[in-house]
Amino acid sequence: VADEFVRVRLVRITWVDLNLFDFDYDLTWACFFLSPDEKIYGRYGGRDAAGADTRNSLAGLKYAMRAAVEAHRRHDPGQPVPPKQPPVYVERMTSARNYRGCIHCHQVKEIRRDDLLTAGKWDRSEIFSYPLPENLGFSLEKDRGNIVRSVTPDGSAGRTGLRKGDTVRRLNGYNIHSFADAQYALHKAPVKGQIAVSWSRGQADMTGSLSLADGWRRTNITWRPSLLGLLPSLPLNGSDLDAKDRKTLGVGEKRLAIRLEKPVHSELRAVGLRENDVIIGLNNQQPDMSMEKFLAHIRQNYLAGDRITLTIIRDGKRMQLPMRLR
Amino acid sequence: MRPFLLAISIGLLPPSADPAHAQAPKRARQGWHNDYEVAKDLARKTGKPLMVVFRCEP
Repeated sequence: VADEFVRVRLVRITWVDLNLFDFDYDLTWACFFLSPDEKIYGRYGGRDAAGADTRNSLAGLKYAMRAAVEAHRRHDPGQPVPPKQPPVYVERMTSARNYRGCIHCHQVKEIRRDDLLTAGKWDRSEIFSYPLPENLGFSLEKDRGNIVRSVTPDGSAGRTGLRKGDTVRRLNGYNIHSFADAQYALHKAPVKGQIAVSWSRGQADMTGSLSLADGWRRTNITWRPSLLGLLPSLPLNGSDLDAKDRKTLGVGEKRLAIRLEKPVHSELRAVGLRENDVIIGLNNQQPDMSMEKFLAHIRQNYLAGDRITLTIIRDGKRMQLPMRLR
Repeated sequence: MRPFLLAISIGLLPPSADPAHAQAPKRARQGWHNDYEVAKDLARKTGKPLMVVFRCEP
């Protein structure tokens, strides 16, 4: 199927029109299928926090390639595109001057963000880009990227009527043949509201709307290189409290309870934490959470600069310690 | 390298990952071009669609 295409491999993002080649620049590999007059038939690539290969396979790539060849043969209008705009090149963005040497793909996001921050237009919600289909309660097969692999009954897709084995045809106006197609369609969806979905089941064609609840775009972003400078790190040295100490302090079996050990990081000492303090709460909540999950929770739900309040037990007394994440 | 990327590299991509090759346009290596405009012209002439791969080189 590769011979059905004129194939191009680009290893530099400079002098690439970002209006046309709009993709998840945190990826190390991404693919477009398009016509010579630049109608985009489909995409391939994409990943999640579990790993770079979790969503990709050669079979899945061939499946998407064959769909693109068919779309080209029948002169398919391709995916929706905004009205033709002048090309946008990363090296022409204002903040690009702060980057020396080869601009990596993920730096497109960083440069864009820097420009928006400078203009006072950056919105925190933009960190949740390229949401997963799972965010709306369905997943797609790896080798046939438009076949529904699973549906969460009480999720948005389940309520709309999507079922395992259905073939997703269009999502938010985009033809779907791969995970990357679906992820792009969701990336273009609003923060709140509804998007159209059409699918087939056997000979029957069906349509519906997927509702987008508050926070539906929220996804594990900790793998994204463009966000590394924004994600906080809590330098805790300690361990989960054992059963005996939990009983003594009256802390439930699964509740957060981390005893700090020596050395206590200077950043934590500066906010008042000491050796043997036991962290039992975050922002007045006492979640069921191990130390490992607590650290992941901080990284997945906050940004550097955010303020949190820790509840601790010291010498049998409870205290609240506010701090700013770094 | 992850299995998928390794398979792609062996099966589809040219053997050289040298950016110098990537920046030397015109000639296709093992069927892969590195100049988008040249490839687009060729696609027009042959009536084929384009497959454009972005591969970030560390």
